[in-house]
Amino acid sequence: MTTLTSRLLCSALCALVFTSTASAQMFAKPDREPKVSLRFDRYYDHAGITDAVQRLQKAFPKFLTLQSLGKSVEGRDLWIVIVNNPDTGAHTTKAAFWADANIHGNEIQGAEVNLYLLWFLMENYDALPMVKDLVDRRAFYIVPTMNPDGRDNFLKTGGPSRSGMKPNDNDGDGRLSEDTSDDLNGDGEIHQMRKHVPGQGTHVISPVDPRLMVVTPAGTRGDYIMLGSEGRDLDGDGRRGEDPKGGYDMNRDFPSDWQPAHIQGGANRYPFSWPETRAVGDWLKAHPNIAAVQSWHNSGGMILRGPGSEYYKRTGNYTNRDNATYEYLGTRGALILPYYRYMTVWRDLYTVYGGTLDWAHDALGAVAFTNELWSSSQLYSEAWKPDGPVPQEMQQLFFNDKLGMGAWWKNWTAFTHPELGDIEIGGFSKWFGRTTPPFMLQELAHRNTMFALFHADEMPLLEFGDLKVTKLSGNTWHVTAEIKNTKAIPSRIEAAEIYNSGRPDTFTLSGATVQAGGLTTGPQGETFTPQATTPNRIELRSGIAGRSRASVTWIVTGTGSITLEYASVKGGIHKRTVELR
Amino acid sequence: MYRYSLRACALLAVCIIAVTAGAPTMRAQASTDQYLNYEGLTSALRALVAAHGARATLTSLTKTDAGRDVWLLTVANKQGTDPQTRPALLIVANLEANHLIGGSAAIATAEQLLSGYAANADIKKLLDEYTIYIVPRANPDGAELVSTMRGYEIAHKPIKGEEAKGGLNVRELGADLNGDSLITLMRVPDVTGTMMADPAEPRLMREANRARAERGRYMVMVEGIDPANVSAFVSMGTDGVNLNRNFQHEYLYFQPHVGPHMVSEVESRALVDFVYDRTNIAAVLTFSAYDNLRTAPPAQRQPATGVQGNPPNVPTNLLPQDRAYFEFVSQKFNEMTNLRGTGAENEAGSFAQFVYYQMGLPSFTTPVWTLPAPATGGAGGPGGAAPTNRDARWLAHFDTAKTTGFVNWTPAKHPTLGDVEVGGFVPNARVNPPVGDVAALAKSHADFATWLGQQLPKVEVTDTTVEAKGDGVFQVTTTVVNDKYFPTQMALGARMRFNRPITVRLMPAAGMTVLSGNIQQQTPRIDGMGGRQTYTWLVQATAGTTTRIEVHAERAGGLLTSPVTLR
Repeated sequence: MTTLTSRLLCSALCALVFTSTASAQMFAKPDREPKVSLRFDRYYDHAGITDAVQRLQKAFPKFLTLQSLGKSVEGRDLWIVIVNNPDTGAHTTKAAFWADANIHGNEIQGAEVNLYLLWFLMENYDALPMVKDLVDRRAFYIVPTMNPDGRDNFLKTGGPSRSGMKPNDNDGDGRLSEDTSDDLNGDGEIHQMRKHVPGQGTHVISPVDPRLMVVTPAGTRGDYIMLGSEGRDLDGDGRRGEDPKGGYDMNRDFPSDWQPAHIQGGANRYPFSWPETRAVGDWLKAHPNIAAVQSWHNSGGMILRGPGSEYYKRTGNYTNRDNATYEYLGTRGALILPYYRYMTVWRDLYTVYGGTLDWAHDALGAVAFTNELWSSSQLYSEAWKPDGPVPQEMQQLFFNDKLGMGAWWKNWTAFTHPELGDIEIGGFSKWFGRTTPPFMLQELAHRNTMFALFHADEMPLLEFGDLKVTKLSGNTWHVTAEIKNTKAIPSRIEAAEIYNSGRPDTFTLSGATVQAGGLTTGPQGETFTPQATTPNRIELRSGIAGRSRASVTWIVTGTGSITLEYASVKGGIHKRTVELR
Repeated sequence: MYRYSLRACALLAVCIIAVTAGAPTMRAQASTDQYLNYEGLTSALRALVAAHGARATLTSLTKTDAGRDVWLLTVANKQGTDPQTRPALLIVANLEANHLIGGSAAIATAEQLLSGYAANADIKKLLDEYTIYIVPRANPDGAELVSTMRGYEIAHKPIKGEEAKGGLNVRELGADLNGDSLITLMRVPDVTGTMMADPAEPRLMREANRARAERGRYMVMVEGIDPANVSAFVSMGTDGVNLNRNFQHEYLYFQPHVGPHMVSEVESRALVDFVYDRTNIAAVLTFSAYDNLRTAPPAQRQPATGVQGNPPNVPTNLLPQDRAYFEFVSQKFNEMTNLRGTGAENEAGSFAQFVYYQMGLPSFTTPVWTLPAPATGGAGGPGGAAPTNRDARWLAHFDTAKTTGFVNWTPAKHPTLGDVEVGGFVPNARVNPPVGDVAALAKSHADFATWLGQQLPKVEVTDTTVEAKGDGVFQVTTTVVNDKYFPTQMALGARMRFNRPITVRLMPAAGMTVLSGNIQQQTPRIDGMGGRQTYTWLVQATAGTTTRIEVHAERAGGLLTSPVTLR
């Protein structure tokens, strides 16, 4: 029962919440506490990510919706956070920016970028008009991690796998994942094993640093043999760790330019074959308003775009028009992201069949990038020279010692192996190499978020331009209407036009009898090309190009007012009523 | 060009569907209503299982979008080894919605096997030693659409969410102008028309060749109301899916009726999963519009137009070693069925192509019925010689067989175009034979399936020996033999990531050390017709130690064991 007191209390609380939201502006005024305390100098496991997105959603319930796309192989929720201002329309009516991360289990920091992106948009909504503008006029679909099983596997045991965690028969013995790697010493990581065999080995200790092992020259014997990753022969077949869970690549599971596993390693039976990719694919297919797709991977410092293969559509490139859009965004992105290079997957990295990029481009008609987050050159000084003061082979250990205080190296430690006897375990940590060191994580998250928001900001944004109504005679009128795209990405990319994916843009006049209609042409826009059929509804198969405009002319007979409606899958629906006078 | 004009000029006729759905029974033969609808199919399968419970099981592969079951009939003697470990032949039919004859042949095969078990020694051996999986109707939603829209020629199933339009894009429907309950073609006299009647066969329309002083006099389009709706758009993947275009190999990206993407449909997914999961399936026989039995695939084929550029390591032809098997089986098919005719291509994105090119399994496919070969001596053409044009040959066949496969051009009134003529091939008349021909065709295909089932690879473990070398050292030897026709793996199959080689393991035993030879040894392929492979291990153990050899022969017998005592 509602009493006066409780109503008063409620309004007081609501006011408090409102005030607190209004004061969230931690980026512009860094002396303030953020409303939601999240840390960007550590990594969250799936439970931590769940807690973070739930706290964000509770703090910003008006703008954030939290849903589960489905469950992973091991039953973890695949979270998606929808960012939208409902006051300006449903999220499905706006151009949407999609960001996923961590499809590869061991490529973890993308989840932190996505958390940062959400947190940044919310905390700065009131303080920064550019942020407010993005949140008010765009929608964001943010999936912090697409592979929570692989993520937790990496965090808990440090298995190096990029795969999901479905048990498989990798060794062909008819049993599923019965010989995985094994954290023998229980330190939460999989290091290397070596055995001391004086005078009978293949390696010796390096004269440069006793931690390093070097291969002995041909014809001589060393004192150690290297025994690979920590593990045992759990299935008694004489091999160690040859049947781990997974062994597949979910970024080879998308249905454009797809190839089977004997051509493309990591592919499965057919596209969208894993619960994680299927859930994501179903969502993407159901949201044609997605105009931009961003995937976070690691590492190497790359802004990657498609196509994935040199055989793609027999040309190895997107069309000239689409290519220009990528060039615009990619070259500017490389300025926002020092140490990152803007690259085409097959030409500059390696061939990928069935990756996210090509499908997002071909079938969703979205402009898609994949960032390889983190480059070790960000850690190593540019002053490093091969002939500098420290021997070349010491490069990694030097920074481990001088920047990490030894955090990233495990010294060789004696261990009694059940099969191999007395051995030693040691080597570089899983935290070294692919993963950003904690002290640099927030910068990485911020810069990549800024690249994402730049991309999001360049999604098509349509508005009415010039509108002219001229009387021809009696009740017959000449109507010319213009639609402008104020952003860089066209309202329909050329791939969508060619592959017929999604509806073309349409410009419809209603409220009068349309005698003829078509795209305005001529140097002064003085004539038009009549569309053969349905002159009231003009199709713009190419949409409206970036920072460009399109004009349609109708000859109509009628009185009173007419309604013009421009409908674009990516650019939204825009209506205007005009008087015929 | 002709095909294009068909697609582009098709018509808006949603209102007409209601009329044709309740249409009166079609005249003539070759109608689809003489084939089983879903309910009839389900009853027929249930009846088979009720009568032959000891050798038949009916399960559902999956539920379609409309809630129908894709039935799987497992035919095998349930006594003896587990049918799921026996080498199996999978028969799949009715992938194309209107290919109803395929389903009839599949059911007839099941009937023949089940009723012939007692009297026929070949069939008894087949059902005792092998398993036959039969999916008589892979596309029940599509087949049902065909049976409710009898006047149309529809190879695709409705797409989810588009049911209100019969699952098809409005452009592709037609309307019945001349009241014969069939959607054929209409020709409209028009000075801008580019089509003319073919002088060699005036019932057929073709493009006029202006360079040969020919003049077009007609526009030809699908019989219907609104030829103006040509520019209506069909978004990729919303136009209904031909399931036999929905598979991974040479998939026709972004083309009509292929689905929004490869393996997008529950039916196609269920089939692919089934072939992967049932690792005893050793060969597949498909009854579909595509043929590789009447005519074996050529050594060099031209991939279908529209196939996306593939990397050079994607095979587009049968590997030569494998082709020899396809040729032999084709020859046997022709001998056994005496069915000659023109093989149909239609292979891009088909289930049969997927099975060979991506699973590496022997994969055979036949339309069951197709354009019959012209009688020797030549009949039908004006000059006495058989016509070379395929449509003309169809007409000649219908004339000879005296079946109504073609509606002669007759005047009709069109609401906006005025006087038109309506005519053309009866929908589905070139897909399904007259119902009177079904029994004989089905029998010859059932005979072939019976033969094919017995050719599947099957290995045996022989000659397991232990030779004491002294001082607790023993040499263990075993041989795996395949006495059947097919090898345990096609040459292409040996490349496939998910196919397991023949895997032989000397199982670990307490105190036994393997001195030479890996515990687990693998062979990609063992030929048929007596092909064999021998495996050897040198071990050290206490005399009297017992263990066993395990042979995993996926698709060739499953798990076999042979005991070993070291003495």
